[in-house]
Parts: sequence; C-alpha cells; structure tokens
Amino acid sequence: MRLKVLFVRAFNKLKEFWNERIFRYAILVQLFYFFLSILLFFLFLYQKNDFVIFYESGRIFLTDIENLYNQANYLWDFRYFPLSALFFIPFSFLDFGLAFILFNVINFILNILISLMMYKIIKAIRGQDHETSDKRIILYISLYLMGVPHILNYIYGQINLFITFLILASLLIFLFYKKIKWQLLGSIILGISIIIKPTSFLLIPFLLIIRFDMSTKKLKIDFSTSVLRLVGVLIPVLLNFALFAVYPKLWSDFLSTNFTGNNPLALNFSFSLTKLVTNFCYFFNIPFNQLIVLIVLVGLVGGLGFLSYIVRRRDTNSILYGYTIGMVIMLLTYFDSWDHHLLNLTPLLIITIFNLPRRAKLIEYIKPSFFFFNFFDIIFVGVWFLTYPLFPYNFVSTFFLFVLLYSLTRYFLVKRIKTDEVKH
Amino acid sequence: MKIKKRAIYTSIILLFFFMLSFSSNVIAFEYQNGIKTNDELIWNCLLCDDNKMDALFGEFWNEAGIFENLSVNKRMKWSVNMVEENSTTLSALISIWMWRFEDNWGTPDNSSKFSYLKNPSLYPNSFNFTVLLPFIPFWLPVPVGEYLGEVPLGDIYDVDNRVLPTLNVQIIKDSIHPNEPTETVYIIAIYNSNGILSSFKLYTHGNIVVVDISLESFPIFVIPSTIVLILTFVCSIVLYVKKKRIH
Repeated sequence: MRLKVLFVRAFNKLKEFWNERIFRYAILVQLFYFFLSILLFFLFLYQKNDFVIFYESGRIFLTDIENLYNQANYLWDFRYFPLSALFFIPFSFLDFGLAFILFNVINFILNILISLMMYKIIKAIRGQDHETSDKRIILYISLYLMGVPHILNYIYGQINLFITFLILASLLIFLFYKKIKWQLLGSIILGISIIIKPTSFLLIPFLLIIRFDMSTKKLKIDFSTSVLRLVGVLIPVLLNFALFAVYPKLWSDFLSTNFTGNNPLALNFSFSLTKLVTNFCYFFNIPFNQLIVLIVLVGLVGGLGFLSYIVRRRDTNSILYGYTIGMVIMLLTYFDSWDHHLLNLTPLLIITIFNLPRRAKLIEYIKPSFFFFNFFDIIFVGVWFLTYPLFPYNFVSTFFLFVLLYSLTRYFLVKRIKTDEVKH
Repeated sequence: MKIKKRAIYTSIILLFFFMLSFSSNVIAFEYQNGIKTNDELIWNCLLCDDNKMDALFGEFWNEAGIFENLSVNKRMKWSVNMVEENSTTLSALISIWMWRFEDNWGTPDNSSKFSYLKNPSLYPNSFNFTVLLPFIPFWLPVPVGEYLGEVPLGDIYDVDNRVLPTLNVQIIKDSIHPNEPTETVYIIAIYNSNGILSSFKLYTHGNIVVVDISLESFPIFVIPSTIVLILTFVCSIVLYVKKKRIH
C-alpha cells in the first residue's frame, strides 16, 4: 500500500516535470541516447562493450565460480568484487542481445529515479535565498538527463547509474533520517554500491562524524554513530571476504588482477591524476609501480580533502560535501576515470549548487565544472586520440577536478562564504 | 490526442522489435589490408639496453629475425612492393632495410612476403605470431583490435582493444629455453588504424623499459592538434583570470 502511494506520488511529480518544456526535451535526448546505444550495439559493438564482461561474470559465478577472475573468460579484465557478479546473474539467463536491451531499459528507469531523488534532496536542503519555484531544479535535472556522459554509459552497458542511485539513496537517508537503524541502512546501501563497483570506496572516510572545532580547539567525534556507519558500509564489502575464505583461489586471483599482477599498462584517456602520472612515466620510459603511484596520490589528495573535512567550519549537511569531495578524490586518484564515471559526480554537484547560497562565489567554480563534465568532457576524449602519439594526457578534466577540490576545501575552511553582492 | 499517444506507443514497440531483430543478425567484419603499395614505413629504436637484452635472451638475440642488428638510434625501413588479397588470405610483399644508423638506405637487405588468413578464427589454437623476438607482428589486417580478438592466441598474449589496439605479451622466465629469458619480460605493442605497429616496448618487472621502438612519423594532425589544445587551454585560463580581475 505504502509502495503504491509512493509510486502515485512519483508519477504525479513526473507529470509536473513533464509540464516543463526543457524536461520533455531531456527525456527525448535520453531516449535518443538509449536507441542510439542499442543501434550501435547491434551494428558494431555487439562483442566490444563492458556489458559483455558483466554478462559473463554472472554466468561464471553460477557455473564456475573459482574461475571468476580467469581473464581468459573475458574480453577485458573482470576486476570487481566477486559479489558484484550476483547482480548480473538474472541477465545471464537471457539471450545476450535481449539482456543488453533490458539492462539499458533499467538504466533509463534508474535515471528517472535518480532525477526524483535529486529533486527530493534539493527541495529539502535548498538554500533559503534560492527561487521558491521548482523551475530551476527541473532545469538542472534536465541538464543532468541531457548529459553527454550518458551516451558512453548506455553504449558500453555500464553500471554507473546503479552506483549513483545507491549513493543518492544513502545520502537521502543520512540527510532525512537520524535514527540508528536508518544510519545503518544508509551505510549498508553505500556498501552495496561499493560491491557493484568500488567507485564510491573513498566516500567511506566521510561517513565518520568527526570534526575539529577550530574555535575551541577540540576534536568532536560521534563515536557510536561513526562506528555504526563503518560497520554498515563494511558488512556488504566483507561478505566478499566470506566468499574469498570459501574459495581461496578467488582471493589470489582478485589480488593478482587488481594489484600484484602485471595488467596492461598501455596508454588510455583516463583523466585521473594517477593515469596522467603513469602515462608520463610510460611515455618517457621512467620505471614506475602503479600501486605506489596510486597510494601516494590517494595519500596526498585524499589526505588534503579529509583533513579539510575534519577542520570544517560548518556542519550542516556536511555528508553532502563529504560525498562530493570523496567522489572528486576518487576520480582524481583511481587508475581509470572515464567520461561515464562522471555520472557519479554530476548529481552531487547539482545538489551542492542548490545547497550553497544562491550567489555564493564558490558556485562560480562548481558550475563551470558541472557544465564542463556534463557537456564538454567527451570532446577532450576525442582530442586525446588526435594527440596521444605526442601528448597522451587528457588533462583538462583533471584541471576541473582540481577546481572542484579547491572550491570544496575552501567551503570547509573559510569562515564566511562570500557572496556576489553586485549581482543582487 | 488519443490517436497521437497510440501512434507514439506503437512506434516505440515497433522500434523495440526492430532492434530485437538485429540480435541474430550481427554484421561480421571483412578484414582488409591497411597498408598500400609504395607505402614506406620507418621505425626508430628509441631505447635498447644491449647489456640487459644479452642478460635476458643471451648474446645472440640480435643476430637473426626482425631484431637483427638492433641497437639504440638505429632505424628500420619497410617498403611495400605489393599487396594481395584473395578469398582466404591477405598478403604483402615487402622490401626490408634492417636496422642501421645511415640516412642513405641503399639497396634493401631482404624481401619478405607476409600473409594472414582472412578468417582469423581459422588459426590453430594457442597460435603464436612467432617463436622468436619480438613475438609480435609489425603489421596486421584492419580493424586490428577485432582481428586480434578473433585469433585464438596462446596464453602469452592478451589483446586490449578497448582504447588503442594493443597486444600485450608476457614471456615467463625460462619459457623459451632454460635461462631464456632469465626473468619474465613483458611487451606492449600498439598498432595504428592502418594496422602498423606504432609503438613497441619490451620491459621487465617494475616497468623498466629495455627496448622502445616507435613508428617514425606521426599522422599529420598530431602536432597541430597538440599545439591547438595547449594554446586554447592556456588562453582560456588567462582570459578567465583577466575577466575575474576586471570584475
């Protein structure tokens, strides 16, 4: 009954959105991306997309789990936690082509749900000086739906929207419900997103309710809630280790695939700082260990972000800013940060834009970054193919990630958020 | 209004079935020669640690095969005399000037005919391109990634055609002969859109590069694209900062 009420409310809200022309265009653009991906899939990319790997992983999980990380079974390496394959078992029962279509139908539905969740969160935490009408919210939701990263997400049959959905669900829970059971549920949901794809892994430190008050020079920790959240997020992740205990070969293969093995290190257009460094080393024949590069950069960039989060001047909705900076750190430091991974970040940026004061100077950093990631990043992927023999660095997106890192650390550290008085 | 809605739903359902019909009718690749008659290809050896190669493969590693006389700063030239295609094979007759310092190429050192099956899946299981260094071909039919993906390659190979058509090779210690190689070596070979080897790196554990070979000429657009990219970025930053200062 409750579910039915929820469904009716969601449907009515969508009808309200539909009254806005921009939203109708956004849905049309989404449908175009969807049908384009299906067409390209059947014409050219039937055996050359990420969904092949997910589909195979579901099948192998059922039939030959010990060989889940045997890369001979895959087109490209399967690197995720073993339980992630569970999500793809239902698809592996279907014909591959049909499974791809169904998967992208789910992606489309997830986008609608993500839009509704964004709306719900923004309505609750929107800054007081923002417009009272919903038009601007619908505009930004539509911009998200029109975002170019959706193209590659659909074409590759990628799982980023599952991650975004779960991140927003946990964020929504943390923002709206304070009771212990909800804290646990919110963190378990985040843990599930990490199982599917570890993109949200670096959001974990920001679950801690910890703050060093600069004025009183005192460290405040909500120990019990922090521990509860950590336990919640680690439960799903640790379930994988139960599987590793049962199948020791899985553990050694998982380590080899992700860390100790010699995976192909060849050039690609990832815009992460780690990849820029390893591309530089590769290009100039400088010996390097990619794991050490990763650890050092996570230490530096992540350390800076987490430290500024701890000494933050303001506490309201800090989880939102924690999630956003956590995602920025992840995209800056993980080996492969590609255009479609930006779908994990752009909804958080939109919510942040609405949470900050309408004329906050910081928005001048966040908004251009959002527009760049949502519409222009893909151009530089194309440019990379033109320049890679001489200059194999997709650095423009890295620059905008640093702009975001700067603006978020500023948000944490400055005493008063400056606003643009002239524009009033 | 009702008719309009019905038309939309019908169109969506028809499109759905139209796409489903593709699922059993995926288009197969027709592999082709990416090189043409009279093409001249020159590779440059940017790095070659002779001592390390001696230690890995013994002192005779550069006395035969395509690595004959290889050392740093030497160049090798191929001139394509003829390309042929029939129902089963793709082949090319190539004059080869082996690795040398001089710019004056003179007469070729040898001529070779290279052939590939048009249907790569017909190669035997655990196929190796060669049992000698460099273990990879210098040209392949196009599209390279798809072609390599269909060849039932041996365990030492890993094809990665996700971004650039790349062939990764892992030659485990003692796998060729006892004490050859003396430690596990890795090769990354990247091909361009014409199926020509554009970069070859042989390295050992810790990404220590021992041999680095690359195709001498870039495509014509590479240098202007790089300059435009960097200039546009720098100018955008300067203009943005200036605009901010004025306001």
